[in-house]
Amino acid sequence: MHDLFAMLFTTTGFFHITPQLCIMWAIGLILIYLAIAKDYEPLLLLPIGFGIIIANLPLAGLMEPDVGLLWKFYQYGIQWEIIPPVIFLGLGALTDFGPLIANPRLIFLGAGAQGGVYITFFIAHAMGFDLREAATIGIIGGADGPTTIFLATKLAPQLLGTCAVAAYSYMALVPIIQPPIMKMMTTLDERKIRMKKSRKVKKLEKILFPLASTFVIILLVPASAPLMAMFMLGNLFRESGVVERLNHTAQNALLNIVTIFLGVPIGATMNAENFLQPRVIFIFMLGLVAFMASTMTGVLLAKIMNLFSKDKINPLLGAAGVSAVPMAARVVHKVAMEADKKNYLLMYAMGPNVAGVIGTAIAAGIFLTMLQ
Amino acid sequence: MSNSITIFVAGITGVFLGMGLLWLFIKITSIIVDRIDQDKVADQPEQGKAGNPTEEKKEEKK
Repeated sequence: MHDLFAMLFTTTGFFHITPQLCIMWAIGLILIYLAIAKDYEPLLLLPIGFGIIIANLPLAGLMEPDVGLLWKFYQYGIQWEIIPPVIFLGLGALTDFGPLIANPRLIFLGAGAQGGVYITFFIAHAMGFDLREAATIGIIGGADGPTTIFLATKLAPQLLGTCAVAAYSYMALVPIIQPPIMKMMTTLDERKIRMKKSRKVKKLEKILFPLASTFVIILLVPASAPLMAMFMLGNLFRESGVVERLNHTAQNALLNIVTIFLGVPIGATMNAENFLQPRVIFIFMLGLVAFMASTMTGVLLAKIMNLFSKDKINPLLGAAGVSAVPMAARVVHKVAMEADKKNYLLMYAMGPNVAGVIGTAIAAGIFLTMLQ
Repeated sequence: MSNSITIFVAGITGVFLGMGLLWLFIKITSIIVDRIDQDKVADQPEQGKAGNPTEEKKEEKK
């Protein structure tokens, strides 16, 4: 009888609990706490946190290859490159390129902020990460979750969970990370610069932009095609005005569904074996460096542009070049308002902000082209 | 290390080149669209004078 109970006990998960698994549960619970109590990127951190917990339950086998439920989500959703591009479809349907088209020169600030991606790539490689891992860590600086996941899946799947959590965590912390850097890099007078009134954008321009971007970007960097094609298709849904049902579905139901199937398997890739390593701490530190460097290079480029421009740009707009939409734009607006209460920069900041999404997708495409 | 420098330079160049092309496209489109709009505005008063039925009726009464 005693032996029977002993054998029965060994078939339960309780018998197989290890300290490493407990640490992973704690990490999962912390992410769920941050999502619920602090409202830090709850749409992603909550399912990721839950995914970490259930993937680290002994004997559950949810990530067992070919059999586990979460493994199937991961394999067919993420490995097969379906979910990140579908998320981009939804994001495209949500994006208004009007502020960017109204102030085209602000597009370069979206490029400038990608400097942080490459600086971090360089530092990560110098620290001993191989080129593929360094690229995956660098792209965190783009502040674009789906792009980070897309690149990590292809270049360094072993870092997928860590880089995704780092990207979404730092995106949630944009209002804390960016303002001190922005203030450090600008004078009060610079923060008070008021932007020239934007021209009115016509509907035709808004329809032509996604079409032209598709041609230009995909011809230039074919590896960025899955992301850019879906992003611009979503935007064409929105701007054409003739497929309202598709537009509505892309930016609501579809986006919500794929968000569920993105978060849980990503959390599930974080097992104790992969995650509890000293290098994970370095990845988080480098992710923070990437965010800070992207903010700095964006602001710096705006200041350089001002040297050659008659109509001055408020250099704070450079910080919106990281593609945390619309969080980075809101932060720029808030910091500008602290310097001058009547300086409304939100709509201007949306320009580099959406340009940052394109910039990060191009940067990811270049990494893929050169490293895959 | 030389590989990483190559990727660094190629990456930054590629991002700026892509954005530069998009900037060029936006500028060209805005110039064309503004020109079309200006032409429309310029045409409207002439059309109004030529084809305004109320003015024609007034002239007939006189």
